[in-house]
Amino acid sequence: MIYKSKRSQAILDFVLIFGILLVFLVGLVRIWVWFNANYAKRNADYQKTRLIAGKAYDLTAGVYIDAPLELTDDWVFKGKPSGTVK
Amino acid sequence: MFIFFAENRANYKKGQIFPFLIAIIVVIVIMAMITANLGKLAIFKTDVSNAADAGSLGGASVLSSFLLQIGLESDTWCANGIVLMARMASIFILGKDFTLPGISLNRALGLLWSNDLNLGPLWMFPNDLIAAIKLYVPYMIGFYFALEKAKLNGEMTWASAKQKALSSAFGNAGVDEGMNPRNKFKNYPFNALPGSYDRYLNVYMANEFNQSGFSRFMSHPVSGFAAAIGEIRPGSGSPQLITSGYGWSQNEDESFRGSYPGNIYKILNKPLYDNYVEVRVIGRSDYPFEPLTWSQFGLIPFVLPVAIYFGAFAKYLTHGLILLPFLGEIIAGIFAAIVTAFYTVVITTLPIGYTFPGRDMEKYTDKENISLKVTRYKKNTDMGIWNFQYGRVSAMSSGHTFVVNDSTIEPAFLAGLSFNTSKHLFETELTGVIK
Repeated sequence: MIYKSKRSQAILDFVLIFGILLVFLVGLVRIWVWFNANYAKRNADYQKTRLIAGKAYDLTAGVYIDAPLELTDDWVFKGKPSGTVK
Repeated sequence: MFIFFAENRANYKKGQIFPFLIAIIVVIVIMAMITANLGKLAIFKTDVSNAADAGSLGGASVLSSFLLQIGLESDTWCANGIVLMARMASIFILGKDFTLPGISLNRALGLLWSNDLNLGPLWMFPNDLIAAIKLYVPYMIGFYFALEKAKLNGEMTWASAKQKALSSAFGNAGVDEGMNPRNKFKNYPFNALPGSYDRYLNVYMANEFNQSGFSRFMSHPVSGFAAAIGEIRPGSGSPQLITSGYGWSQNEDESFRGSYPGNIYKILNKPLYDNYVEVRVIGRSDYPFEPLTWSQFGLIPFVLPVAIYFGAFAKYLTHGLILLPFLGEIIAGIFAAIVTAFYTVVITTLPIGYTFPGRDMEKYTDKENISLKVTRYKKNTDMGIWNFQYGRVSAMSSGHTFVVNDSTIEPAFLAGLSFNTSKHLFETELTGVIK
């Protein structure tokens, strides 16, 4: 009986811990997606500034301003992105 | 609690977490690979975008400097034209070309005509006309030769702009082909060639040892990066679309091989090398320069014939009175009318510079783009755990030279009665993607 109870305890532990691990993993993947989306967004934003930078007579235009996507609770916990990359 | 776990360590089955650890590590490594792949593609995208922008601006700047040169030539012809008209006026009014040496002020003013060995207006009149024609004809021949030269220069300039666009684009495309000096040194046939070490130093090292295939591709425009432009013949114009490219691969022994000479880097869209950079340039083939005639400036030039008429009338009348006192006024009037008509025709047709059709500067500068498409190709690389996906990454860009503050290729003199050469300065910028 003692042995059996230990086994069920282990199963309970396993399910609990791996459930938590899975949630962590999902969160990790979402943060990773956010990072990659930002990577792409930064590049796209930078490319857009190049055209203005190539215009004459406006030396202040075309300066790249970093505006990353915000890492929100909704994105991490619910999978809703805070923006899109165009 | 720690003591409890420590005491019961022996009861745990070791290594249970290991498979999960491996799985998570694999997942994380794949994620890192995907991110690295994305980063590499972002670098490619930035490289090709930079290349396209640099090419567009480089090409447009060639056009800009050429238009400045043409504007200055226009100024020269305008000055020549004004001098020509003044010389003709001098001949018709004073009877002498004021630019010729040995003429005194009195003669120039026509005060001593009666002492000259002329036979009166009957001889002076044809002499005046012949003298004027002798000025006019060489001027016209010279101008139209210069115009043809300017047109040919326009064709060459578009070719040069495309060549500049190609070189700027290739130079900024991030070609990372390496050199392989050690391998070449190892393979050099020292024993087979007499004096081989000197030859190695002076020829091989100087020409090939220090250059990658891409470097040779860039340093030989005719057979290298600009080979696709080909030969420009008068009237044919530079080709409107040019495609050039360079491909390279790394051999198993880490040496490189490239596609120089020529542009054989792919056949039927199938790459022959693991990497290539391709640049396509689209632009005009020529500039349609036209002569700018003095008559295009309205009534202003026609003030001169009126002055000519009265000047010539006075001159022929003065001499007419000597031989033909009664008909002097009539003859002088007829001669004055003929030379005035001649002078009017000269003014009407006298080219004093270059312009574009319809005198429309913007149509042939602002609206004429030099457009580039740069493509970077890299073969997929299988790293075992992740197959790096590259394929083709492209970027497009267009640039132009444009009118700013009424820039013109027409003589600056006509714009403000001063040779303000800054009127010929055209600005250069990117215009975005023109598809």
